[in-house]
Amino acid sequence: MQKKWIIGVMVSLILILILVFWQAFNPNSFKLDANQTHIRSMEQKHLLSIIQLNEKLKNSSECIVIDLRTEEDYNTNPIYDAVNIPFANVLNSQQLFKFKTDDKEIILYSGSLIESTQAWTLLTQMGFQNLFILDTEAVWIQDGTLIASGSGENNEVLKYKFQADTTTNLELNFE
Amino acid sequence: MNSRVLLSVWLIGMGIILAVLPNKKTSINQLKPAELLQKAVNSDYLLSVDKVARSIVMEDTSIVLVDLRLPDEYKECNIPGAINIPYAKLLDKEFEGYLEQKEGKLIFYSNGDILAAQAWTLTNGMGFQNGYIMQGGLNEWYKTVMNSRFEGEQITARENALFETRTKARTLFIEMNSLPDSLKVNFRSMNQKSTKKLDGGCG
Repeated sequence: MQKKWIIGVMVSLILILILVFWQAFNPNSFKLDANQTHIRSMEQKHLLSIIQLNEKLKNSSECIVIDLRTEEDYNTNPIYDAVNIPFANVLNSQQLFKFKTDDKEIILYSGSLIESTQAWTLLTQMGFQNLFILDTEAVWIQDGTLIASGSGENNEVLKYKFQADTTTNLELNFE
Repeated sequence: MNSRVLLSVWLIGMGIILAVLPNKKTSINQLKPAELLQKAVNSDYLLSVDKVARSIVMEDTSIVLVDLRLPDEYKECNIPGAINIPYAKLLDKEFEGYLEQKEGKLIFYSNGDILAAQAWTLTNGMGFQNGYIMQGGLNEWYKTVMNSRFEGEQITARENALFETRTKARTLFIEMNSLPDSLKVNFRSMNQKSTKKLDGGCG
């Protein structure tokens, strides 16, 4: 009778221990946690200006541009030398993961900077190393090169300067 | 007697297991990659600057604006009511209370789109819900809210409302940011207190 109890206690403890370990060491299939990804994003090595991108494309044959737009957009406005993998499919694209094992430099392009940045963050967490995005909005033109759709400046630079208005009545704000 | 001993052994064992449980909520990803992607593809977390302007003008208390830029940039100018969480400190423990929004909308903005999108993806992966992105960031805010004027012959009711909101938001933005630094600090601490109160839940 007593032995049965002891075994019961032991088994339940071990079972819980196993579950805890399973939880702790296999939370999901992300390879980097948020902290590591955060640190890597602050290094800012992943941001390319258009000039840097064109240089990269010219100099390296190990460089691939991934077009994250939908198939429809891709077909109506085709891009030379880019592989179309719509954003919604990035996680189950075997092609993309093959580029990773081949150690290629991958440049993510999308019409929207938010989308390409999200793809970068997600794929970096999946363990991708040589992953780049543009630091400005850009469009492809006829001959297959990229041009900036705006001024081409880094997207994270404020293009405006705040002009203080010294004529407002300050007291009014604190009533 | 014996069952008591066994029970205490079991409890102590459980206690030890719980004590060594990794407590890294700030860095472990709560969502699975596919779930995060699904959330990102469905773009209802994108807010236009006009929507944000409307919330500010209506003094909507259910939003928390997060300015991800450097403290100096924030000091120079920021959207009224925004709190400053520099991107480098996003995952620090001290800001966890702000990221954990149960009801309110947490709206990230920076000068452009990149920092806000990174912050959104990281915090969502960590399981913080209710994150939003102000599309285009402050550059778009300046372009649309601060600098656009109605140009046309006849204004429709809808356009009228839109431009009225922009004008009000513009006035608020200029007034708040024109305050001397000492008063701005007051304005900010007032705001931070009120957001903290919201975090508490039962008050």
